[in-house]
Amino acid sequence: MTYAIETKDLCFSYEPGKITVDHLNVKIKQGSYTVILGRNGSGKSTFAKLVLGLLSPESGSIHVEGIELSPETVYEIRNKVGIVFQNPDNQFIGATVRDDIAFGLENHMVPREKMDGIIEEYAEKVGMVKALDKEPSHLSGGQKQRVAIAGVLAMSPNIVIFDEATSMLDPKGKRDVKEMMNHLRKTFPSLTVISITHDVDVARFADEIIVFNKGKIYAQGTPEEIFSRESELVAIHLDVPFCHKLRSILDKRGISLSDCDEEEMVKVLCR
Amino acid sequence: MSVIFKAVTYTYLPKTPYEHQALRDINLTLDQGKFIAIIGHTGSGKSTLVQHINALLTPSTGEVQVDDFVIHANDKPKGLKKLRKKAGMVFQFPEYQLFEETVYKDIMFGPKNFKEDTKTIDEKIHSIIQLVGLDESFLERSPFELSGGQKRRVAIAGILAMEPDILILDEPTAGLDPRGASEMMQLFQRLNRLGKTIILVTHEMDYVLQYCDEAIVLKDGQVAKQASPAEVFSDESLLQAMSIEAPDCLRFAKKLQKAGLSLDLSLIRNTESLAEAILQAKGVQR
Amino acid sequence: MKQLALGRYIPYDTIIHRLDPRAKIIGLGALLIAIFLPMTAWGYGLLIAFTLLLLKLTKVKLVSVYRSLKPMWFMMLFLFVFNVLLVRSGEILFTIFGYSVYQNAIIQTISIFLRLSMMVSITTVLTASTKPLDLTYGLESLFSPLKVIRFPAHEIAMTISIALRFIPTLLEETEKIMKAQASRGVDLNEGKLNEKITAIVSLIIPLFISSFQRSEDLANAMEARGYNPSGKRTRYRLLKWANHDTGALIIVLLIAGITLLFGLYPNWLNEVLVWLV
Repeated sequence: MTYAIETKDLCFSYEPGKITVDHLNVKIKQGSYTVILGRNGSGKSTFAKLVLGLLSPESGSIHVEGIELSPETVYEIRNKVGIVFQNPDNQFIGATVRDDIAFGLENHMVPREKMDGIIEEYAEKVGMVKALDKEPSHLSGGQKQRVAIAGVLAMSPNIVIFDEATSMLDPKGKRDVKEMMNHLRKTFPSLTVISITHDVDVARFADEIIVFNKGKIYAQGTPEEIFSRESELVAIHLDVPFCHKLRSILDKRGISLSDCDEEEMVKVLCR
Repeated sequence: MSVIFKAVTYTYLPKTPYEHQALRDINLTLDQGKFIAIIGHTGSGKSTLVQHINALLTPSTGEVQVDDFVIHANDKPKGLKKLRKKAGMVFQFPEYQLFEETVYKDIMFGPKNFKEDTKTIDEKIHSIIQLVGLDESFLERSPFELSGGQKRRVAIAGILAMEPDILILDEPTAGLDPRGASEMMQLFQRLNRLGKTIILVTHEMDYVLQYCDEAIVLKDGQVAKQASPAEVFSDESLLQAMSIEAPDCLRFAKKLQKAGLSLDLSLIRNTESLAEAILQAKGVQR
Repeated sequence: MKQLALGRYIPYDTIIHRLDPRAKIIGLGALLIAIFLPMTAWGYGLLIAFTLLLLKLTKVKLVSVYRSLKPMWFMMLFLFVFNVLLVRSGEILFTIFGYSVYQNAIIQTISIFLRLSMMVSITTVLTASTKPLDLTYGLESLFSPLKVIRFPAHEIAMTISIALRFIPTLLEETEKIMKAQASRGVDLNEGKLNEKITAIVSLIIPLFISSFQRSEDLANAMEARGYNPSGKRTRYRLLKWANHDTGALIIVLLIAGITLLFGLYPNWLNEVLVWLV
């Protein structure tokens, strides 16, 4: 099977003696929605940078859609993988929204005549058409992230990585970007979406969760499987979503709830 | 050390095309020793409001009283420097304000600016570094080799070293992972129990419910409500108007109430207390 | 800063605003050369009239140009005294306290003043009528033939355009850091010199650090989006040279040329007229 992303024994350290990514063997299926969950410093953002060839591994290999990452293939791989970073300002390059979306098109040698059409199409998809001529200093964090998403989508990638894309946003911005992520999955069902985060509420809707800890994979499974291991997650500085937490407390006190569906839980509790 | 706002307004860039009234007729009392949350949508005036407490901003009209200090409209900053010691402000992502060669020197920066003597500062620093959850080995290290979370604690230590009576915090848990965030909130709770007034500007409604005595809701530069968190979160029309989501535990509790379970919502502050309330309602023995 | 016309873009929609930045840059260059080469009274007359015309067309107020020149007053005064003392040629204009002031001293001072004023005015016309980004693209285009000697015109232009985009962001950040440090007791108005230095250091270091972090993040973002500085790229923003640009450039070159002619052959106009009649 060709995985969207596959790493074998991947190792990386920022400084000698302190290993950040430790013999990582990750397999992410094509078309899936995977959440990489881990505390700050667990190696998850480093992983994203390694996949994009922004960092060079010390050992091990990375395959993106079957192609091995190397200095010869890095540009090809960057065509396939789009990434939205955490800081909305530090990835906004253009003087206006239009110019920023155009930046990626320029890099990919898209002919000038086609650019306006693509820019407007993707600005529409992220709801930023009216803001096309605005400067970044007049945009909110959430808006800037939407522009980043438009810029990434305009390259028609097969894989999109969201690297803590909502952690610097206010609630409205977070909602906007999360909605956009859901919308993305519906509109492009064959797109592989990877979300790197420590926000457990985002993780609830994943097809699969990979839990990172100290540069290794700590656990991998469906949200249900992962979130039933509450004490372990807390021990590695994570948390579980509300209903899982409630269910686990009630379970210890004798009330068993099988499903983590709120409506179901209400019914059971109010019998 | 109460803080009183009397008929305060604040306008940014008056008499220019960019003029913007951020605060309209604020009348507010923030009682000493309380753990107060300031909530509201982005642009509602939260940051503008709290910057009046340590006189980074002075009102356009009206006056602000902090303990013995009275700040009148358009007062010059002279003499207001002392206020910055009484009301310590920790901005969002405070790790960006670190600049000294060692953690020790950086924490000392604030007290030194207020002309305290080195021996007193030294004694304080050794206790404060532990209060923020780091140990003495950090003191001689460079702040720049620390992780983001550690840097943030150093920055907070730097403010605590000034021994403010009031601590103003702007989104102190932004970007922290779940453990980091809860340790941070517990630190503030400890400080509150030691007598400090804590003013928390935040969007995290879970924390507001769990830790705060009082919540002040700002909307378009005005005080929309000042009440206990429980009262604020039971005001459905307010929550809707402000697009605020009540904490999950309360939201779920209301669902249970509607379905017939009798729960005392005022006792619910987090998931644990919700579970307790459910168990009580169902008559389960402890 | 708001009163200073020099350097600021003012968004009107005039003929000059609509010119291609390259035409304006070349025009500025030609006029500057003309201004600083030898001139006669006719030359001055022509250039001054043209400069005033340009200012009017670009809607730059004379008052703002005056304000831009204010910092030079002192220097002009110094120059005046210098000239009066050292230039002793031409007729004697008048005598004060037994000291004679010669005509050329006055003339030379005035001529330098006029040249400087014109230089400031014409540069203001350029910056007031051209967006900084367009100026950057104009320079990039003009310098791009230098690619053959490996002059990195594109990279420099990219660097400048990104720097321009971040000016508002940096200003905001500076304000935030100032407030954060003010909350720690930093007061730039009071204190001894070494305290003030520490205060400034407490502002500069955080700004530097955040700028380094920013450049790393930006580099990552740019690379991730396929940027290859030495590779081929298409361009979204294109400068389009139009007929009116050619026309404007011809006019400017003519004016500069005629001025030069006056300087080199002061009587050429007379001779031409004589020849015609």
